[in-house]
Amino acid sequence: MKMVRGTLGMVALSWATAAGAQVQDMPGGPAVNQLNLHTGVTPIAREIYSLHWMMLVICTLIFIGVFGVMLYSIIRHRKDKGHKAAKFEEHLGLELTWTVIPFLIIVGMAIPATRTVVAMKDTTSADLTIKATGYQWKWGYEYLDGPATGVHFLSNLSTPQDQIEGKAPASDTYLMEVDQPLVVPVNQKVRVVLTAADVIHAWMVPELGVKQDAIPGFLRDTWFRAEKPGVYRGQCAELCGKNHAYMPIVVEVKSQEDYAQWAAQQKAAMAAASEDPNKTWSKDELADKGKQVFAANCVACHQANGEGIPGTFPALNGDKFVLGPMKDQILTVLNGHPGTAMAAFRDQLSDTQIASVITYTRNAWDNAGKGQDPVVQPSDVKALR
Amino acid sequence: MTPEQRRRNRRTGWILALFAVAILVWTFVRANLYGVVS
Amino acid sequence: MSSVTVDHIPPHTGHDEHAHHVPSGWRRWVFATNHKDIGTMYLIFSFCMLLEGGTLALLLRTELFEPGIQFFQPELFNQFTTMHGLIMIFGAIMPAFVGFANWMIPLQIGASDMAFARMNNFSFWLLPVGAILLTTSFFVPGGANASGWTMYAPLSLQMGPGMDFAIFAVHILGASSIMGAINIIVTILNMRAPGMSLMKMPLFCWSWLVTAYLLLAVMPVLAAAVTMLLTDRHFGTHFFNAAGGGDPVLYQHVFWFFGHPEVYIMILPAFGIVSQIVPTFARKRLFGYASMVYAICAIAILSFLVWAHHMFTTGMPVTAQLFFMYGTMLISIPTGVKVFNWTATMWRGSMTFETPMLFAIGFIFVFTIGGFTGLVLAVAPIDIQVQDTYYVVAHFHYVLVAGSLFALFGATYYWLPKWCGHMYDERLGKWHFWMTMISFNITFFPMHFLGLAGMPRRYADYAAQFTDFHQVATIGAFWFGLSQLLFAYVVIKAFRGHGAKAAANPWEGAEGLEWTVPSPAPHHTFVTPPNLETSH
Repeated sequence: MKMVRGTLGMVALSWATAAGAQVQDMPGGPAVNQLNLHTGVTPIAREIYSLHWMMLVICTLIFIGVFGVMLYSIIRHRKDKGHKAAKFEEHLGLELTWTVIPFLIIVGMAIPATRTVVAMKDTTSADLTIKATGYQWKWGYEYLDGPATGVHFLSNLSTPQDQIEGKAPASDTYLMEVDQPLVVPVNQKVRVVLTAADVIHAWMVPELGVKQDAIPGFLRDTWFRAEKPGVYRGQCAELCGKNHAYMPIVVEVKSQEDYAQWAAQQKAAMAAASEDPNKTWSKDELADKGKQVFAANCVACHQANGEGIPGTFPALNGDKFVLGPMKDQILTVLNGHPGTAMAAFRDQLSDTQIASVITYTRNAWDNAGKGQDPVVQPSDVKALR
Repeated sequence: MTPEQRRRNRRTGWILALFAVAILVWTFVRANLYGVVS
Repeated sequence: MSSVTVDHIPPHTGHDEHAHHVPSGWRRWVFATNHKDIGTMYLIFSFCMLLEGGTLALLLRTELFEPGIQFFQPELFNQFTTMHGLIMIFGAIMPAFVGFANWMIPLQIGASDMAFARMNNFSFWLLPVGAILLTTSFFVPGGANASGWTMYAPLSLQMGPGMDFAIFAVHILGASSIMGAINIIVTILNMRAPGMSLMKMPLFCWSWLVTAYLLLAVMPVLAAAVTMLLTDRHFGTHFFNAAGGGDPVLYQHVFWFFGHPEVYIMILPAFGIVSQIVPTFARKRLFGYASMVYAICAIAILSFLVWAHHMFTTGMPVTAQLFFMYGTMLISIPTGVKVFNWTATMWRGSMTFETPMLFAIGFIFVFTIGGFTGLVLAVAPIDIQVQDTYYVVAHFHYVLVAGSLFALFGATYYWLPKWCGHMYDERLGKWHFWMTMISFNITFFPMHFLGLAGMPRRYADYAAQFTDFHQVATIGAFWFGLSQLLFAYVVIKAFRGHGAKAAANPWEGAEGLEWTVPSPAPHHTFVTPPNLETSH
């Protein structure tokens, strides 16, 4: 059945592609059939690009040299051409030469590489520091200094499920677009401090020449200085579970004025949106809001129909925690289940968001009317933090 | 194989097996005591 | 050329050819202690694992034909990726080389069998147990291990019971490797025929001697690593869990301390094989035998010092980054020496290009490409851009498939007449070579471009701009897979006797004790060791 659906999906997609929806180069991301690294928009990315060309040229020359000799030999030193085998078995001079010369070549390669390594590792004197946290399966960003201090948000993949399932043609930014990009100013040294909440992820943006593992329980850092405004895209580069391919990174580099403006806007929006945790909401208000929270955070594992994946992710429909006293479910959502894929959402979602998503689950599918505590208020969540 | 050869084989074999076990133990000890400078 | 002489050796007990009949039926195989029988079993087992691992690869490539999810959800896809790696490495490549070691080392050194014939049997029969554990792990709740063959913590700590199956399989397969390594070392050190000094030994034996030491040194490290995963998962330890005071990166250090020598374990015997085949078909002795030995030793020693080049993005201090970069770049020197020496062996030889020689030359050509991409990856800043992308996937498939697997194919064609007494079909062998060579490059060369463009590895889905290269790779992969069925046909056909009878030495330029015994090799050979002092 899966195979039939899959094949039909492929046919549909090929049809859509053939119908003229040709994919273009991704702005800030890979070009169609790109052959080489991009030059990039940071000095480090450009240095890496040059290093790679240097390596490519040297290796190609050596390759042509060695296999030119071998090809000549294959053509001339054949039995069927009557060539008789020589008897030599060693030649100290030759062997020393082809040990020493490669050594010198290696040293020659290592010198420029060393300069770049040292430069890449120097994260001191940054103009702006941002904390990036890897989650299963999204990134969270927090501005630690500068005009946007305190601004924090999650950055989720925004590609519609339809495109992933082949029901709609893939866009030019397929899988590398997010709801809220990381915004940084141009021409400033941005230091990115990385960690993770669950497993190891990696923050990679090829145009910036950056890749750094995000390790749970530890802080790592890297840096970049973008020299051109624009949007630059990357993806998670360390296997982190089922949606490893679905947690991209988008960095929007703005001019310094635009950045300051954006920062001010963000701070204002955060102030306006901060919810009163003591407000009492109606059941319908909570369930409606909760449905959106559920779609953005819970569907990946528990599925839209609440049935989960048998053997791997539990069903919420008819689940004893969901139908039992509110305390157990609130604690589970706040603190997760260590050792499983159930993350702790205490730092990712607000009291109101948690209260609404729990209320939603208690009234969705077949759960409505069964079990205790069908409505959970933000103050209930706050009390258990 | 002569009995002498068999004896030599056994001795070499045990030494090598000891080497393997020593490495196993060393790995555990290193992981516990020293952690890693990352 | 040495001749087999029987004088000056005192009579001994043990294998007396006349009183001891060859067992028949299932007992011959289940209770096998004969190095030829055990070698045969290793080779058949490894070929079956090649097909199983290959099937997983084709499933992966089917899903990757187009962007989007068509056939397999990402969690299943990750299981396929993981098990493809584990099965190919531990089920196909490593046992295949051990199979060749079993068959050829006693013959090449003039020994009657391996040092520990019964332990040899146990080493083999552990393998199907491990393979069954790996295969059945797909069917337990949660499916097979999906954390990559590298099983990084903390992701591997989240996996279901399939992960525990994989851990036990690794323990069992590792124990088999360690016992095999002990067997090989003792056999080579203690049981060479009189007159065969170490520096007169065929290079294949040298490559295995060094490989066996590597195995002995690092398989216990892997065992410890996966045991720590097991205890973190079930017994309350927190080696790799930061919340408990541990460090996920510790796992990576321990794993790659095993992992890097492991890749040399998988390539050194291949070097040994190529060093046997090229001189034979060039009708010229190996150039620089001593340097070749030193190069193998240098590569082995250096392999212990470079593990963290797999970890350049974990955030190590700058001095560590430089140390591992320099060490890794240095390994290319002894490796380059070997390529030059093979070329010098061919130079001014009198070459013919039967299938083994095609695979040997093909190996040198394509392995060198893989070696160069390895050198590129060694440059840490470049690695930062391409680590965990398809550039790495391209690199290691070039060295493991075009490297190790091509050498294994070449060795099979080379020694097949000795095993079964008949020549294989040369025309079909050449077809196998060319189809394999061309389809291999079609499959894996585009992956360099994908990696440079930023396509990450272990992804079930990808940006639409990558589609064309993925489609080329998938088509190549299917062609490559089907070509291996031709290989099976050629081998079976030869074993069935459909080919010219093979002489004791069917290859004009071949030297070595294995070519002094009849083809097919009798069940017992060198019951009395040959005396080489008088002849070599």
